[in-house]
Amino acid sequence: MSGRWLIRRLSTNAVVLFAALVVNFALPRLMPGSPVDRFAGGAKMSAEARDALIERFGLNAPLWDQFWRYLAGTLQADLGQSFAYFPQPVSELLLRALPWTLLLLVTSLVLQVGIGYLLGATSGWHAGSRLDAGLQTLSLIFFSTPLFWVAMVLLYVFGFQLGWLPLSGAFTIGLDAGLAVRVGDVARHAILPIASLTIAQYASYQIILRNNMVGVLQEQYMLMAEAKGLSDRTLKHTHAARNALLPVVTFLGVSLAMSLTGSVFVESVFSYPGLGKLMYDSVLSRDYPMLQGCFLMFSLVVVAANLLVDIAYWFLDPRITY
Amino acid sequence: MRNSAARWRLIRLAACIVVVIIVAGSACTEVNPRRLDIGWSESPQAGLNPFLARNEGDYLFLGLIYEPLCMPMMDGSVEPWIAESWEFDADRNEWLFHLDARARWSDGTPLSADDVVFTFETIYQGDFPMGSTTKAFVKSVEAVDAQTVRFAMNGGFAGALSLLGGTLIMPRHVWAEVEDVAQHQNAMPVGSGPFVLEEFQPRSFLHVVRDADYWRGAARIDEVVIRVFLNLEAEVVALMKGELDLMPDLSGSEALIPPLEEDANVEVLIDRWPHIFYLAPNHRVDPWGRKEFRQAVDLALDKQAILDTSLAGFAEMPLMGYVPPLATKWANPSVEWRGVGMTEAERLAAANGLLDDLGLARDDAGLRQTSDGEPLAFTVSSLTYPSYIRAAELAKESLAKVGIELTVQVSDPETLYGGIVFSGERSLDWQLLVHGSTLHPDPDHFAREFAPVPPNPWDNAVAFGWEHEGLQSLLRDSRTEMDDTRRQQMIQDAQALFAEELPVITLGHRLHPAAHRTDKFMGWNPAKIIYGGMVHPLGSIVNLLSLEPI
Amino acid sequence: MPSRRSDRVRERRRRYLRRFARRRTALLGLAVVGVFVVASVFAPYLAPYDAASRVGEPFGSPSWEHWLGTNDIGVDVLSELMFAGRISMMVGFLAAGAIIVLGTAVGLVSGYFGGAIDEALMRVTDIVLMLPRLPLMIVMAAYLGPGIWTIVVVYSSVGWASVARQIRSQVLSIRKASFIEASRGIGTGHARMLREHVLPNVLGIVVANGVMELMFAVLAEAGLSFLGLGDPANKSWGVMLYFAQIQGAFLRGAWWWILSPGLCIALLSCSVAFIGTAINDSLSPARAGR
Repeated sequence: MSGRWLIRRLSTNAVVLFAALVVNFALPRLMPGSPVDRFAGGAKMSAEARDALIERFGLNAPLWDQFWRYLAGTLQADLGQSFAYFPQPVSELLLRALPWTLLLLVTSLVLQVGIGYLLGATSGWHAGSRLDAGLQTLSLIFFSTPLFWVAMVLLYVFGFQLGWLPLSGAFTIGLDAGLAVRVGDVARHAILPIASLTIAQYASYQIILRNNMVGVLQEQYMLMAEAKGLSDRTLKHTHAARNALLPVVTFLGVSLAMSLTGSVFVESVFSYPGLGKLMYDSVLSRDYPMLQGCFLMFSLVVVAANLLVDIAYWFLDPRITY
Repeated sequence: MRNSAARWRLIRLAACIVVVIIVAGSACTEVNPRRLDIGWSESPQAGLNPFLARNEGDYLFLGLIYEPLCMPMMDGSVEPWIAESWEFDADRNEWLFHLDARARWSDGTPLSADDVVFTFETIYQGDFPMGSTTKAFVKSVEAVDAQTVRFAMNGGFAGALSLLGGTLIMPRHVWAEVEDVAQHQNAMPVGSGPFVLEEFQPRSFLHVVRDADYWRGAARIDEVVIRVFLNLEAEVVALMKGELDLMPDLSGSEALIPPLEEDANVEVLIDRWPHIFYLAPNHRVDPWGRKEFRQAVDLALDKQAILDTSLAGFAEMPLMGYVPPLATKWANPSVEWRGVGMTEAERLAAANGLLDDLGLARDDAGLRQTSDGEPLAFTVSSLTYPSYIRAAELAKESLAKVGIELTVQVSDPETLYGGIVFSGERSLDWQLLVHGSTLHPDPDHFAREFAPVPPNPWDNAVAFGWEHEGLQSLLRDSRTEMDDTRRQQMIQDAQALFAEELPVITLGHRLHPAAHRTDKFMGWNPAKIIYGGMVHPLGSIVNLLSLEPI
Repeated sequence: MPSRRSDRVRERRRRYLRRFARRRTALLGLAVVGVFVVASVFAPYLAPYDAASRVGEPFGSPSWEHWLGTNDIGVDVLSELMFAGRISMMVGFLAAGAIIVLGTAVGLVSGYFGGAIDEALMRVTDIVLMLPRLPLMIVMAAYLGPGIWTIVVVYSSVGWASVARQIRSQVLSIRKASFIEASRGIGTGHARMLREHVLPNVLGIVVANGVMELMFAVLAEAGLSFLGLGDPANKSWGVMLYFAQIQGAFLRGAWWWILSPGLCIALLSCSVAFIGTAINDSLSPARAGR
């Protein structure tokens, strides 16, 4: 067991990031129409203004030249300026949005694993029973319901009709209060977005952990003979929990990417000021540098998460060699 | 088992903490009762740099911090602001603005003529959008003394006062140190307005607090917050729940108005607006270049249905002369749509008659054809706005009844406007367009768009491929006509010709709905209509200054 | 030889089918999909009204004339749903089809030839798999402009990778089977080999994947349309939701207008998922548990 596996994973991640950069560079140049038209956003523009823009973005330089300039800029965290919010640098807007998305994401992932474990273990314990079938069906139903629609329904019920929770944003603006109240305020604003994300995405964990439990039970017969005196339930839980660790860690990377996707919908329904809303906003205002910046940031988050997962895996499972 | 018991205890503890936090949070989410919360559904584009201001939101946000020379009113009159008075010579070649001596910036520096000169020079040098309409007419701007500014014009410019006067004035002593104005974020704005910046989060909110030393007398409300909503329903509900006090612009979400009207604490105001909603044909595409064909189409369209559905009825029936009825001084009321007062059968019969006379006979399926046997089937292009799409769909329904087939095609603005219609290239790539725009109350834009000098691809006449010597020279002359009565006559005559010629087929004029709560502030004064940037009067600074907490 | 092989394949297929038919949820799923397909395909004959004309009061609640009420301009929601189903399912089938063709081709070639080809193809596949899917689709769709084809192109260009991976690993396991090595020994051509020996053995996985991709494609179409990247002139269920949200269906109390397209999407994709899991389970019975 060596570092080779880890190095290989690292290089794959680096290549993915590079691919994201290439996609970002190539897309505006491959698509019909000139990138300059997109800058103008459909506004009426004179020929001189057009030439000035081409000059400014260096669009008449050779393609390789443009690419190197783009790459160098990106490495210095210069992602250009937002079209719609012109003087604002894209990177600054991205960094401001990132913590909000991470808050939603991490909380929701913890809940997804928790709920997934609870339901999955139950379902697997009673494998083949009606309860099992019911829980599985339920998870499939949630899994196949559009996330934005779940968010809309939650917003309607808890925000509009019952009025329990705030309708939009991440905090109350200009709230003059102590830390505890501020934290509570942020928590209240995050409940519905987190709930929508969790409902729509816990299913995969349930299925993974159910299968895990089924496996544990099959082993159980052998264990039973040796471990007399331990209660059935305890054995199940400690053993199952230990066994669940690896599949859950393996799946975390995939699941994070899915939740990231979900954040676009959730944040746009709840006007939550994270990366997803930024992306939706950029779609509406056709803010192309911002849109690409968001894509890059999403890629970065996915790659970072995968790295963490890989490292965790490396520690957890000494058998890995590649 | 010890282990699992401990785990349960931990889980229970965590749950308790969460509950306590949430309860604490919900218990004290009170904010200052003297704070005005405004809902806005589109973020401003310029951030805090007024030189880059482009749309209504920019003026709504920036109008709290910066001020113009004067406030042009909806009815055409003009209210003094930084400039307490103005004068001009007989041929209007020279304008003098006399500044109010009390005016000062929020950092205490007095506002002087130098600031005004600096503002206009910067705008013209940098070609910023704020000055795009006046640049060609202004020869020079200079300070006569600390309180007087002189504008020298290149010949007469009929729309000068309302266009020059509406420009936001910037402090020289702050901006002179800025290296590149076009790149400046202006994170700590110094303005002359009644509010100063507290916090700004792009795309989320703007929070300003009252300037206690404001030169015209401090506002009676303490703070103003403008919140940006992506979800219009959530915005309307926030108003109904009292999280918001004012929604200055409900257009585009007309379907949400009825529930607001039922709310006892909310007042909905529907105002007329200088908006025009029209179908623009490409005159290069046969037979759209023929006047009689356009007239037939105009008659066949069920405009009432279009306005009732695409704008939920919040619209006025059209005046066909391109000047919206709101501009009472300029609009020619006699050019109303010819279909008014006719039944559908009468309209269709008249339209069919015109089409038959053009020799566009129907085939077996009822579809008309040109004399070359080409079927009359066209594509109507629309942006992705639901109101445009609904209008295009209804136009399709109407024209099908006279044997003209339309296909609705949806596009984004870059492709449709930037890449095709207004680009000067690919001019044959489109056939019919649903379009709407908010006009300036002064009819200078009418002449500029339909009789451009020099002709530019981004002016309507050129983009639509339309020419008419008589009408266009009349419009050109009106731009430099300094006598108000004669200018009025020319504009009215031009409208009569326009309604006959139909370079574009007007569908109607959108009304402007706005809503505000009546239980938190009093002094809402919508009668005092101000046309600041383009925002609704309720959101204008003049109105906010008159508000008083209950 | 060939006849015996096809017998074996046919027998295996029969076994899958028997196992599949034992799953009640799968049959239910099939029934629902069937109803949806019939309702959409025959919408012009079955729908009570034309989906483009205003036939009732705006925001009319469900009644005998309009079972699912009407929308903001008075179009019958049930009829609109039936016509919209055509677009949604068409996009779904087209995208799933494209993904399957692309993914299977890449997976087959990669697994069958191995070596440098395999290495290169799988590298690309890994990258596509790891790039965040929806953001990539959003960026592409924003550049391509609104349209049905945009969605199909965008979705299939990112969706093929996971299929390719699965097909490849299946091919790898088959390659080890002796009969392929044997036929190779007697000099069978690559094309014939792929067609006669490899493809039939991965068909099960192809079908299972295709079914799941159909579900993902329908969901993706709805999502992109909801974000305003769909084609508002061609109403799909996602576009209906887009309109319903913008026109304030909830606030106007028109729950029928916003719930029914959502339920249609959920019901269709859920049924498809039932079918998909059943196929998967009948391919590998061990996973199904007791």
